Amino acid sequence: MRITEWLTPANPCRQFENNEQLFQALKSLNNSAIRCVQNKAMPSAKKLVEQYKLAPESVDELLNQSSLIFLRKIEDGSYQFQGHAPSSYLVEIMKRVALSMTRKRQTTYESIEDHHDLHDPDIEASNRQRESAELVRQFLGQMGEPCESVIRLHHIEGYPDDEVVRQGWTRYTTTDSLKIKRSDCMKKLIQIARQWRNTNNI
Amino acid sequence: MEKYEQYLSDNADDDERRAAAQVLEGLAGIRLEAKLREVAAEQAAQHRRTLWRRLLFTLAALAFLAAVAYWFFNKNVSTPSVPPIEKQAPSSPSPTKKQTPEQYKLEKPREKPPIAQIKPQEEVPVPPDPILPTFALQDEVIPVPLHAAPDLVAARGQGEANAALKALLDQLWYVDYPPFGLKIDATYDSADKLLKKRDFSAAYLALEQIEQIQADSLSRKIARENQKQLEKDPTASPVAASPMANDTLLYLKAYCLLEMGEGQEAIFYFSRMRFPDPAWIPQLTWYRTLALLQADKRSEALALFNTIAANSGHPYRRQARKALKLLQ
Repeated sequence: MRITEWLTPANPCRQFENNEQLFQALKSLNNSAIRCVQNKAMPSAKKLVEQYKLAPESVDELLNQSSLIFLRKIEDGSYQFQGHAPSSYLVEIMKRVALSMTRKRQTTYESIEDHHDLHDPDIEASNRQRESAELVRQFLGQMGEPCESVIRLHHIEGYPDDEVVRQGWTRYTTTDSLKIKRSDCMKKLIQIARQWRNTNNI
Repeated sequence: MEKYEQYLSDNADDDERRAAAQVLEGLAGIRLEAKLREVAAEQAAQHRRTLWRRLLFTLAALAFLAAVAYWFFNKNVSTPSVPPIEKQAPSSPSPTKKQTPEQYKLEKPREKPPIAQIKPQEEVPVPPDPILPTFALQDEVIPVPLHAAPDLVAARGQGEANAALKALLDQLWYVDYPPFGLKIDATYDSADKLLKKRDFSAAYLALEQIEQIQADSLSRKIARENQKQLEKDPTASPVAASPMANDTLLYLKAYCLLEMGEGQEAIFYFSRMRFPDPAWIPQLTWYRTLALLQADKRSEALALFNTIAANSGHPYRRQARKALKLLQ
């Protein structure tokens, strides 16, 4: 290893030969792939923060929020690979998020109606998802163990059932019993969410 | 398809389906947020690692530079036997006051005349040392000693061995007066003057007289104290007066003896010194080594020459290397 390589952070993009490989890795939420696109988009994030006169510490928030939208769009299939660099799309999302951040700042002294026609569907969807995530977190807390762990290990942390059984992270010793329990827990979670929606007239 | 998915597609009403969609959306959101947090933590850890590596590299580079600088400046510090030659050299002005060894070390390179100005007959180029090959002696030039060694042939009689030893010592006689760091007070005025004139026999006699006076004074003092003690307590045993020479006197006597060719005697006085000033030590070691050589204790002298030569901070290291070369 050369001394210059040892003294600089490893380039996460090196393991992806082309944009298609990078896109496939992003689809499976590969950490290096996410770091690769974030590193590529970082200079643009700094430039946008400067350009829109946002607080210098909002660089991370901008990159984070944009990455969330970007990954959600890859996951739900609304962003398809067409040969372009995935980081260019992330930069496009960042521009819209930066604009929305300036609007958020302006609403403190201007009426919301002045800006209702400028709402961005992607950002709204992201905000909606964030609210849902917050609610689900709350519901999982209400359910307690073992449902919280059973759902978290599969739906959030993405561990395969056989590994969960092998590692003994829950009390269930077969994949079948684990699946049955998780299904029951999911039904319970949906019922709690339904009840909450009815209570709040949603 | 899991059981709850089957239930949602078969039996669930619209409300339940909407609630399920919201739950799945929320779970996907949590998953993405967790993933981004994980990536951010990984990124931060990598930055920290890189920062530590850079810090380590900077420290290593600084340590290397310091070592190089130390080696470079240490190499350029000359030995203390050079100043007398420079003081008397026509091209260099003589110093107006005595210099401490530290001042001498600092000022030496500036005062040193360019090598080209040193007369060729006064130069002894020292070839690379085969005994200690790491010393890098190729470009070093050691001036010849200012004075000749004492005449051993006259003191010990004719003989090839004495003549050879005298010839060897002549090349190594880097012996100066006054010794470095030695403070000579008024007590030693008479001996000091004689030593400066290089009249060593007379200086030795003067030192003997001083020693006698000091011993008498000490005896009288002890006798007075014993008298007082006996007046207070008639049963008390008196303190015996023992000859107590101080280190300055011992050093001067040893130096005199060395210059008189009495190596064995000089060693005796050198070994009697109890608390020599640390500033004297390097020169003292060198003189002791010469005394060992004079006393035909060649193996002990060789061991000391080796020790001095191996010490990169010793002011006589180059002379010691020269000695090792000559003794081969």
